[in-house]
Amino acid sequence: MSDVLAFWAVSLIVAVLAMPIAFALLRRLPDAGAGMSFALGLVFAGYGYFILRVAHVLPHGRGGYLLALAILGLVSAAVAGRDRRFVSTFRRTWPAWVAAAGVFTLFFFTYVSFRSYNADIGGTEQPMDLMYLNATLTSPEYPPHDPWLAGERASYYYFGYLQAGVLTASAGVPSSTGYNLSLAYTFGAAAAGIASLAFALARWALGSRGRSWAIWAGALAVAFLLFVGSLSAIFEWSAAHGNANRGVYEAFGVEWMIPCSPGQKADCYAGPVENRTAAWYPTEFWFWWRGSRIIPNTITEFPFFSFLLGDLHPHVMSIPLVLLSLGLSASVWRGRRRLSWETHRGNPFQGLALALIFGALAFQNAWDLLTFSAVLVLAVLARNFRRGPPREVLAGAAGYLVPLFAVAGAAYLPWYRDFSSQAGGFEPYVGSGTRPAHAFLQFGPLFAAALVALTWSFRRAGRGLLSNALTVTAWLPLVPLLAWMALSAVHGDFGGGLETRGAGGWLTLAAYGATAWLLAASALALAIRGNGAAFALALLSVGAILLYGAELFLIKDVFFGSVPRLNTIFKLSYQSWMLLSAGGAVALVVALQRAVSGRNRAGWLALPAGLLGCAGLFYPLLAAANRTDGFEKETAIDGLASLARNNPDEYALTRWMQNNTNPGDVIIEASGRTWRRDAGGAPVVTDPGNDYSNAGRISARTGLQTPLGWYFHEIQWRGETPENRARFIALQDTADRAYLGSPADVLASMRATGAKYLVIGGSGPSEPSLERAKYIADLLPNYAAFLDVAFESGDARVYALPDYREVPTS
Amino acid sequence: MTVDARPEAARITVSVGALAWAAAAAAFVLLRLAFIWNAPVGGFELAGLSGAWQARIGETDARFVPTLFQALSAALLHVSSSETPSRVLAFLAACSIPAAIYLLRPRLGEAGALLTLLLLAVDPVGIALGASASAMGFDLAVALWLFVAFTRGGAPDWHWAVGAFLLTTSGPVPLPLVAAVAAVALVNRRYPTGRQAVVLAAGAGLGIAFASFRFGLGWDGLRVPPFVLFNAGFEQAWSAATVFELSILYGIPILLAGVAAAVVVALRAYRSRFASPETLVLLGWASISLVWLLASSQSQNPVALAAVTLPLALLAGPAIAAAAAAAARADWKIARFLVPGAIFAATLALAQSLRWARADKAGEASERVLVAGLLVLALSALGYVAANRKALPTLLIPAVVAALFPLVAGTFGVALSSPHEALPSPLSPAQARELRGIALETVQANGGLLVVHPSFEKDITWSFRDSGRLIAASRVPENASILIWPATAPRPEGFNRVEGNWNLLQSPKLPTETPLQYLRWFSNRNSLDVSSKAASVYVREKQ
Repeated sequence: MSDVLAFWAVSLIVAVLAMPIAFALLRRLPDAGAGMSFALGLVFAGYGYFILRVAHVLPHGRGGYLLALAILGLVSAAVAGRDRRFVSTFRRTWPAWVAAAGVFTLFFFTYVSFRSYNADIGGTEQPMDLMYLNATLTSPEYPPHDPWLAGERASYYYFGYLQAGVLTASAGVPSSTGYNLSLAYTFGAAAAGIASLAFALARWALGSRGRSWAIWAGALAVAFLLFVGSLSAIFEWSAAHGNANRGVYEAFGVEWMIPCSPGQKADCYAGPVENRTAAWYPTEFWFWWRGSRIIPNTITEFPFFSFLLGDLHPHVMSIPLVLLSLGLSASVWRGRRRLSWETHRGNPFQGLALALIFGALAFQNAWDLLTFSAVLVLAVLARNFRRGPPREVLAGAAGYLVPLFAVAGAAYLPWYRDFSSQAGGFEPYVGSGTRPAHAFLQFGPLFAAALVALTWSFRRAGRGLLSNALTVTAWLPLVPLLAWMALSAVHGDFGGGLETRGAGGWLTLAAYGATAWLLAASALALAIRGNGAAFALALLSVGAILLYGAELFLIKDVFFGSVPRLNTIFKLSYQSWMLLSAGGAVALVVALQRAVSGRNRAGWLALPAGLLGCAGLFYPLLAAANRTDGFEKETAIDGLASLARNNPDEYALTRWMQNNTNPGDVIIEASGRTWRRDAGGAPVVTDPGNDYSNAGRISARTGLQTPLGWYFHEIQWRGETPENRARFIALQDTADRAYLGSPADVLASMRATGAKYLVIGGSGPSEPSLERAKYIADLLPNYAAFLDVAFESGDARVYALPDYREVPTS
Repeated sequence: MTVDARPEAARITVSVGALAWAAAAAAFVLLRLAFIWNAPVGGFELAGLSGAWQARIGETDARFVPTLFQALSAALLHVSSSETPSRVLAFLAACSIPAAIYLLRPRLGEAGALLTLLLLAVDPVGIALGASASAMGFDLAVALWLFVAFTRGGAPDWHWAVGAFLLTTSGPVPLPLVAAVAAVALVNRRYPTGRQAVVLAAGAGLGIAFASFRFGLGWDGLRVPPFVLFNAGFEQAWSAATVFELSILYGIPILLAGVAAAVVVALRAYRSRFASPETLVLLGWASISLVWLLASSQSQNPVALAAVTLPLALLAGPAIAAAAAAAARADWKIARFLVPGAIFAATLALAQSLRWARADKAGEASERVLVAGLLVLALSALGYVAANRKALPTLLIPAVVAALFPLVAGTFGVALSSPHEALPSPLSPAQARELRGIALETVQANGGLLVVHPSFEKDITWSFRDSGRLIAASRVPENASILIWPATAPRPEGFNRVEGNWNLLQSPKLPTETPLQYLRWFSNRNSLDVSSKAASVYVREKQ
């Protein structure tokens, strides 16, 4: 419990330290940035730590992190000193700060409580996440090394892990606990951030008469972002209890939930029917996983699923930062004076701060950079358009934005230097389109909320202005469509693309496009009118256009040959979820307020839309019960607690490695490939796969380097080239020789990889020692004969290269 | 009528105040002198001397953090291989502290300054840090003199340069003060002038350059010693006890007094809506140091405790003086009976508890009820006094009595240190140096190599200094003639064990598990068990 409290306290301290900076940047929000201060403080502390580590000013270790927080405090003091309105802003907004701290605390501890039923860090990509967290924590040099590729620096967007490291190290908790608490922090900071954003947007949209309703927008936005899930859960629940009407299920595109008919093998549920439930919720193992794969060959993850699963991934950790960027854009849009180069000269701090925050988007989750920078660009343009003729507007915006983005890039150069993006450009998507039923199951509640906005935005905009805006914004869906046609024609896929998409696909595309268009027209018309609701509508429009764009194009990556739009749909729909959550909550509350006040009867449409949102809450209800076995599992918060229970020797080995080795040391452990004897008795690889396995586990748990961790992940991070393939396989061969060869081979292997230690893992009651399982037991050399036994517990061993050194004493 | 024509003889008059200052300064100096001559090398001093020795012989070692003191310490090891010259250097720096406190009289008040000096004089961790040859030998003095410079103002520019140089070449103790000064200046928009900024930057740059070039020993990458040592406090074992344990054993009285004083000062400033920059700096310094202390609570880092004692003593001294004056004016009508009565009841309870502590077992239920009853009685009496606003200041007396015992015990325990104190620890015992003598004699007589297992390599840097060629090996080399080997390892073939319990490091088992353990140690400082890092010594069998 002390770990949890320390982590929570550090999170609050970081937010408080950022208060003056929040005042300076987000004063236009009603809470002056209280809800976003968690992300704000952590971004600055994380950046300070990163850049000062790169510059060798801060030392490696906990003290370095605490010094980074102290430096953040001094920066805040400087900002507070220059802010003449600091005291008055504080007096005005202190209740909001208390509320933000309360929201954060509530959601932090709620998630800690939930996660304690599933604290284990194992399965899916969690070992990878722990590896990167440990890399940022333990790397003796910065930019941090890649523990899964000894001798090289990390090539990934790891800023989220670095920030999690700031909290983990400052609180003095082990990384395996910090992992879970970082998820809880993200949950809490996301709740505080979206509540702050939606509250602000609603206050502006509601006007002075309906301001008291704004708080409901905050609450609703939290529900949309963090709790609403796929509507497929209702079908899962019904099917699990044996009520699956084929016609209905087929209509909603979930026929694969219906038990297979005799002879049927595909598109049906093939498991034992009695396994589907033994309680009021589906008890089938991980039934909720299917809710994140609704659209075939894609990932349709949404925030609740992310937190349910517990992967500490960049796109999850970036939620608070994305919300902060939206808050900043909203604040920029709300400002009065025209922005230009002169703005930076007058207030360089603000420009620098914006540059660091928007630059951090790439470092934290590269996919977010373009989308949310575009929102900032829109905000700057919208603000300037209110203040002058188009030419000056554009020149001013360019003068403001170009240096900002230049600094945003330059500030993160040490990271860009090592980062190897695997994006291979835009391609037109010419496969089958998303079925409307799938789109409805996945985005129905959020889309319905977005459409409700039209019930009041059209009326507010006025017919004349709206028709002009509709004309102007018609290019929004048309240009991408024309570009798709042109590009697919160039690729020679135009005809096929038209056909393969199917009628349903075209219908979905039309729905997305029309929604984006109508919302954009409303936003433009209201912006021209100077109406406060314009920004919320713009966010909804951007959310819709992301879904629209993902239907037409894809970003070419390593999955291009197999599941081409896997990541495009995944990452863009995730961004869209955030935008639609914030904007949708505002749309519903404004509609309801207008309906209640008798100004707009169409506003009652918010009720069915809200009901659809409630249907989306089935998912978290059922999935949380399933994930925790009805909240009856054993609880812990240390991610290695189950290892300690199930394999104490391996756990002791892990802790020994953490406490008795130097951070830069290299270790050899099982590469993950399985070796057996062939007919002739020679060892051969029978299973080369090592991704999503225990390969590199000690490295992941400690941050120590191993020759190669997960093969295909390194390919993803560094490129699928023949050189990389050959190099990585050679590294696996070298590591494997240490378990298959003679003593001379072992020593040669250790020297070739720079390894100081070799690991033989421990076995538990239900799991064998990984090294003994993956290799051929009678080929394992008698290591003790030529290596030092550095650690032993049960059958777990750590062997070290013998040491012989002359030590001068005078 | 007669007139005495002789002129009156000139009389030397010494005020009571001057005598009190002299006594406090003497106590400050003598307690540290006692430490210099008595204390074994251990804890942060062992790390500091080991690092300095490595620098002295031209070896790169992470324990050499290029502070000015560490560099001078390494230089002094050229003169003598003993720790004493370096300790004297630290002592000389510490001796400037009374003068600094004396200069703070206008701010602290005469009595407040005197009490501050007394508190610092008897601070056990301050004694250890101020008279040890650790890398942070100048830290306390630098921090205090920087505060003096800040409070006096109007310093010439070159003072800024010297201050910045000293800051960047000292350890972490001044960091909270500098952070507080910077924060207050930034919030109040009191920026240095352009010239001052240049001078500051030059001083700091020079300090960092000196440190990065390790004061002439060669470039070792960019180094900012206060940052490096601040971090090292979390990573290294500078004492056997954690900061939390050290606070319980040695720090409670000053910590409580200082925190209470800080709260009073802060409340007063809040109510009056005014606080001078000095007060804000002092409060900020204390707060940041307390955060450091809290963050370090599970680290083995006494420096965090020494760092917090400094601002807290500066706050507590004037507060105690004010409380004493208030106590003299207070209404003693009820207190004159209840306060001594409460002290008496508490003393009886303590006496009984000490009896249990010596037996290491709490007594019968009836005895426990009696002790609890006495404590409740004492607390009720003090509570009754506290309820009367006019009598409230009289509580200073029981507070001082309660604080005095652990403080005095801790002060003398550390100053006249023994292996049963948590400071300094873990110790490099005299036996380690004896072992060195035996080893060198054996090598001289039989030839071959002196071999040390790598697990002992860091522990023996200081005790085996100046021992010629030494091999660190995890396996027995063919030409080894004497081995210093883990006690748990089997006897190497061809070697005979040298009889004896050989310890290379030893530290006390701390009396912090139960209150009775603490009381036992409190009443008998030599009651602790000592744990050792045991080694076996083997000599090659004669052919």
